Amino acid sequence: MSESLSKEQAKKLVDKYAEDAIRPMKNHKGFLPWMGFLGLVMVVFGYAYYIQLTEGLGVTAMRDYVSWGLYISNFVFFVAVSLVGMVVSAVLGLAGQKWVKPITRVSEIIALGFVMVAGLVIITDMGRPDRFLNLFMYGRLQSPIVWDVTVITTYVAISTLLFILPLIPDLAFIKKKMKDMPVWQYQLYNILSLGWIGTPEQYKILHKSIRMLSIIIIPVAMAIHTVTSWLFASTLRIGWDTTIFGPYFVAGAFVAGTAAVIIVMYILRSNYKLQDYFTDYHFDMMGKLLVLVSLLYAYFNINEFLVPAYKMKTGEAVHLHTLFQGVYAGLFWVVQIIGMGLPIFFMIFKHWRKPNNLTFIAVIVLIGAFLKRYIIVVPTLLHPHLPIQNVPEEFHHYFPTWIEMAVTAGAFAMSLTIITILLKIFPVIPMWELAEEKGITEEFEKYD
Amino acid sequence: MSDNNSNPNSRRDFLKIGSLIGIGAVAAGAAGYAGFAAQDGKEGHAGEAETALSDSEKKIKVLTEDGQLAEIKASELSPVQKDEYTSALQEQGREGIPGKHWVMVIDLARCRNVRACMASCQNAHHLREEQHHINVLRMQDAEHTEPYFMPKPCFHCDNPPCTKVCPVDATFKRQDGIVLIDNERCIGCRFCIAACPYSARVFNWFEPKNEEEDQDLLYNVELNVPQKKGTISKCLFSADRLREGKLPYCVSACPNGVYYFGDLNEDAVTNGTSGETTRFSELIRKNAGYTLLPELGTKPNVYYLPPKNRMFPFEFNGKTTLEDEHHG
Amino acid sequence: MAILVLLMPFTLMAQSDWTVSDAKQKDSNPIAYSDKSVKAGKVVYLGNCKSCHGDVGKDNGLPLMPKPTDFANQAFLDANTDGSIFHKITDGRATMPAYGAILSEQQRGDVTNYIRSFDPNYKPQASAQAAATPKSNDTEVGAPYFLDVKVDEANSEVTAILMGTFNGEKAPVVDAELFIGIKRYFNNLPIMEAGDVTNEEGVIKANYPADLPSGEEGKGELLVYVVDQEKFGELNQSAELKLQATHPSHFNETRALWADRGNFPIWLMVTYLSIVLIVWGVMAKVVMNLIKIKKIGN
Repeated sequence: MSESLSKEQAKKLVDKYAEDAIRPMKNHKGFLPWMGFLGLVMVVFGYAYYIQLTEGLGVTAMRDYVSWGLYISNFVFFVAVSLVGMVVSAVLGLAGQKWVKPITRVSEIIALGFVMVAGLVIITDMGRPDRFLNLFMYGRLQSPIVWDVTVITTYVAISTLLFILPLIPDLAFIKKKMKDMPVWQYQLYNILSLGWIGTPEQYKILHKSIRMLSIIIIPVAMAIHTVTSWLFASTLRIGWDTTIFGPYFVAGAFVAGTAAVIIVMYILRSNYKLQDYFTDYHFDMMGKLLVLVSLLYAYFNINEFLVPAYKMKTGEAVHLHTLFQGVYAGLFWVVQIIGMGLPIFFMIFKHWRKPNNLTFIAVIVLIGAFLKRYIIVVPTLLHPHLPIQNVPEEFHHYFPTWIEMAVTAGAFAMSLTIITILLKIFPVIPMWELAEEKGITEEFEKYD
Repeated sequence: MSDNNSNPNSRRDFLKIGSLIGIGAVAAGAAGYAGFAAQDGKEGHAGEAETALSDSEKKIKVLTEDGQLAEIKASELSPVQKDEYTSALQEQGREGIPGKHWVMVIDLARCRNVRACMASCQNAHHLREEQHHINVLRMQDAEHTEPYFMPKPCFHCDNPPCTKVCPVDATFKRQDGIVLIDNERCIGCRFCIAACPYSARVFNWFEPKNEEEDQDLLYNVELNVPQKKGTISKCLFSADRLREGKLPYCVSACPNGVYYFGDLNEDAVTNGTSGETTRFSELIRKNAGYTLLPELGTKPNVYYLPPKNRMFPFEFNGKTTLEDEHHG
Repeated sequence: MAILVLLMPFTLMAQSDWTVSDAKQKDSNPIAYSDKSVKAGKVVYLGNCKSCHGDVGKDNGLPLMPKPTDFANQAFLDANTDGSIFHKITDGRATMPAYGAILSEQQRGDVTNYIRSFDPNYKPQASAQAAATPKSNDTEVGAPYFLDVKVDEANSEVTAILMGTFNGEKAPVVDAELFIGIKRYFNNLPIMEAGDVTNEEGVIKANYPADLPSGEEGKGELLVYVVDQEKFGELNQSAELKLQATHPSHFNETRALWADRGNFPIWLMVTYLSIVLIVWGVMAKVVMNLIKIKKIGN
């Protein structure tokens, strides 16, 4: 890539960028049915949530002991997936991993889609969503929930900036290039491109700003998941009362997020012929990244389970027993072995890091990551310090009702809708960054 | 028995609101408390006669300008007035009773699972059958030890994990040590349920039990009635009764002398059954009193006396052992 | 057995009458009847039996099913021998705990004797006369009565003196029961010995716990009254005691993680604000940069 390209080659390359970037934004035969499907899921969600609002949270399977269930594990999962924006665009970017450039925008979009819905998901768990504003009117600084609200709001803001900033040159470009777009879309590009003319000074300021955001997003992203883990670790519950919950959750989030990016990459690649950007090499590298973060996560899992299992304190023993060989054993071992152990093993082999195979593994890892959150939340609540007595039989168990499942599906639909719309409106290929890498920024800016 | 006038300031504040309404003074027998929502007369505690009011003419006690108690029909209050009275009750409830530090002692040797405490508590706080502010548990400490009954209220900890995590101050610790719930503030996040290691908290998953009958009642934060859907409830040490100089509902309902209740700052606790008062420190010292799960550092204000020299042998569902119980 | 009909069926097993076996009926109280035993029995009664059976003769026991017997009931006293009472205390039944495991034989015998002391027809098996003989002073010293209280701060001692009138002159009332206690929020804390009565000089002495915490100024109120109001009328005295000062725990003024929103720990606010300011400051700086970019574009 060091050799300079001729004028023609450069123009051809920019031509290609433009075409490939605009293609996914054009009509696609699958778009409307897909949006229709998401819309349908959201209608079911609306109906289920309406029932929950009118009848009370009792329509869920949650009761006084298992008082947090699927909704909270959803929340943790959504926050986890949203962390990937930071990993890919900030950590790898700052580490000078050039290959990651084409993936940055995808991961930022996923991050936005999931973190915005995480905020909504937590509202579905509230007994009095009508009093949501109390959090701001009477917010209590000592509560981790207030920290979580603060840090998630901050993460949404930084992610939005980190999404919009690298879009500026591309939007200015597309504004010129794309002809048949509606007025609102042109207006949107016009406003967001901030009168970009591509002077070196503008480039300098842009680079500096992106760098600032990339640095500041790292602690904030760590914080969103660490604070989320503190919702559990700050209690005195067996199974949650552990000091490694912060890094344990962050490591788990890397896994979930990386898997999510691989899946979206694959969908874009096969639907919009973007194999020149999401190449086999990218999948290979993402596969290696997934192995790395999965190993890190496995390390925390070993610490989290082996250490208490070695000691078998009274309460811990009961909790671990349910996980290892009790009611939750099936789920637990599926998550640990199929969701984490086997994927690590297979991905060590290059063959399994090919796009198709890796995507298959990523889907399994992502499902495992979702179930893992469920296993973290529910079993602990079934084992309080004092026995559960003098309550109806249903208080001793938990399995989500259809309402909870519908709300969960709705949350995913919302996330996917946001992601789909963002992919539809904004170019998924960071053209100017690729051009810059090839040393053809001038051609990119002068293009007409 | 007591003339525990509440803090003069809070009383003055309340009078201001009283004067806004300007109801004529009606002589009322029980002096000394500044505003209290009269509950329907279904409570039916032993030895306590309360006038039964039909639902249609539910009355509310309010304090008038000249410091007298008056009763007015709930239906005659305008919504604005109702809000004013409610917030006055809330202010008073949040403040607590100055100089007090309530403490409870539970003598496990005397409990034989009569559950009069649970019944009177559920009555007073309008709770559903499965909602327990106080719950009599069947406990067994080790394999070969005898099982025993253990009533478990909220422990009103001095380092309460529940108030720590509340994001909106809906549960809070007052100056007299009571941890209260403000169900007008609660957002229903249930973080406090997760935080409480003693499972002392319950949630209104559905419309509460007396939803319709309680509609007109003023919300009394010291009684947490009316209960509200989507909010938390828990043991309040019967803060409303303490204000009147009476022992908590559960304490006075117990027929077996299990409960002692009193003020740590006075070093005196009174047995709810016999009415006898003893020194708290002596009672605890002589009987090897303890608190539950002290290793958690919650500093409970409820002490237990060990189930030694039991008056009643353990028997539950015809069995004298604890088997086939769901493990907690 | 008429009174025992009150003991309604509690379970199928427990029939209306509670009788002990003939052998036990015929047993005698292992502890001989004496004034001393009756007195000791009263103390045991107050500590263990009163909570359900109430004050003897006042019919103020708890409303349980079956109803706890008031031991002044002649029918009960007629129907039960000493042995029967002793065994009922020892073995218990239904709501009545088995005190065999809780009280010593001496204590159970004393309580039996105390209960028996309410029986005017009782002829003590071993030592006669004592119970039946009327107490000498009672008939002689009469109204008006005077109750006086003295506090000796140096020795933390309270002296209560009950005087009556005899032949127009003040004379001590002997064997009268006085309550001496310190006022507490719910009820008074007794400081006299349970069942203590005035001596020949009409005096009861009691030590009060000077270390008892009592308000921020350490002031307590001593209350003394005559227990037998029917005979002496409402006769009470109070005095101020110097006790220990308390230091109330100001939960509402403590800065802590568990405290209300106004009482946040300072370090927490500082940490929170600095983090928020730094992060949002960077974002603000980035937004300024964007404005710069826009300006260049124009």
